[in-house]
Amino acid sequence: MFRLLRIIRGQRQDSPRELARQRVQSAIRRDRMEVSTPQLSELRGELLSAISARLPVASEFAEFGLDRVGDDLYLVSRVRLEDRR
Amino acid sequence: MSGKTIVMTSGKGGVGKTTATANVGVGLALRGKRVVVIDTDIGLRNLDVVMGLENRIVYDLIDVVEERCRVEQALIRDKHAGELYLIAAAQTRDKDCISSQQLIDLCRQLEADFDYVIVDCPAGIEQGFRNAIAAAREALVVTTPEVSAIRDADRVIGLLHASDIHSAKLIINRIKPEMVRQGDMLDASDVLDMLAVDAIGLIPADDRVITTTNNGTPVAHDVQSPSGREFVRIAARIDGEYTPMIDPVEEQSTSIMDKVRTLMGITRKASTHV
Ligand SMILES: Nc1ncnc2c1ncn2[C@@H]1O[C@H](COP(=O)(O)OP(=O)(O)OP(=O)(O)O)[C@@H](O)[C@H]1O
Ligand SMILES: [Mg+2]
Repeated sequence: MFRLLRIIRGQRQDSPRELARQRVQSAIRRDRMEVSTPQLSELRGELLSAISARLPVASEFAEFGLDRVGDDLYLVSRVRLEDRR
Repeated sequence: MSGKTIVMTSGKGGVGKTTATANVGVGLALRGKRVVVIDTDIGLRNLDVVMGLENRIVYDLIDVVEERCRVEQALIRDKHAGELYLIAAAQTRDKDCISSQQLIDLCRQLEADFDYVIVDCPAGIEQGFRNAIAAAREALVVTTPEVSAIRDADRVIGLLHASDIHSAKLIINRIKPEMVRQGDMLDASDVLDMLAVDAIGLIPADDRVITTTNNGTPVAHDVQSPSGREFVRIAARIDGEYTPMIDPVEEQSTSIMDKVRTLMGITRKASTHV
């Protein structure tokens, strides 16, 4: 409906507005995945306990989530370890 | 009296929370409501200057929660808008000197005496933000029609959900009708679709916001300005009065058409009979 209006108004599909729309949508989709996917938070817990069974983990994940680089999606996690020096 | 505490939040900084807090406060007070606005941006207070009350501060929010004064002593009465009061943020303390519980207790106490308690939130999603949303039962989320602001608004809406505030309403600020018309800016329906929330106000970018902020009289007092009129309508909507949503893009086209008609000597009324 709105798209039709836009075409009538003579706006191009690749207008800055359309590009902005696509970029917000993809950013939001990814953010929502990071904050709300239950499986991901379950995995987070399981990974942390698996790691702490073998290594002295200092705290919670310093970083945990999905990251897209180019077309590829990565699971990124960073855990701070206790420095035993 | 059993008032409502509403938090004004955004995620991204500089999108218009403080401006909206002052103006919605004025709008509600002009409707005869008893209103208190609280600046929780500790260390970076601004609501006082936007309202033109910076020279009247004796006690601030931290003085109240640390019981160095009574609440009434920290309430600064607005010069223009009836029963509108400000509690200023502390300027010389750091953000973590107030707890969620302290702010919750203060808001509950104020609700007994005011119709509306509006909490102006600091930017970001750290402790200051968490305190402010803990104290509120309702939220207004301010965004601009820009990628980064909308994305941050989405994040904040998620955090509000997690904090049991499910009915956040959106204020889209600084809409530039000309850019929207040319396809250079997202329009209100784009933003609302993406965030899946309802709007409570659509505010155009308006130089009057800047000039009125400069002289410390919020733009809601200026019925000639498009942004001032919309802030007054937002207050009406908050207060439960049905007020149709007016998209600044449509409003501007209509007023341009009015000018054209006037130039051509056709009044609106006459034209409907054509
Ligand atoms: N509709 C508008 N038109 C023009 N200028 C505006 C509008 N709304 C806000 N501004 C200006 O934008 C600037 C930022 O506004 P404001 O301080 O209200 O944002 P904020 O979200 O409270 O910022 P912060 O996150 O730093 O607290 C101010 O200079 C204000 O005058
Ligand atoms: Mg502010």
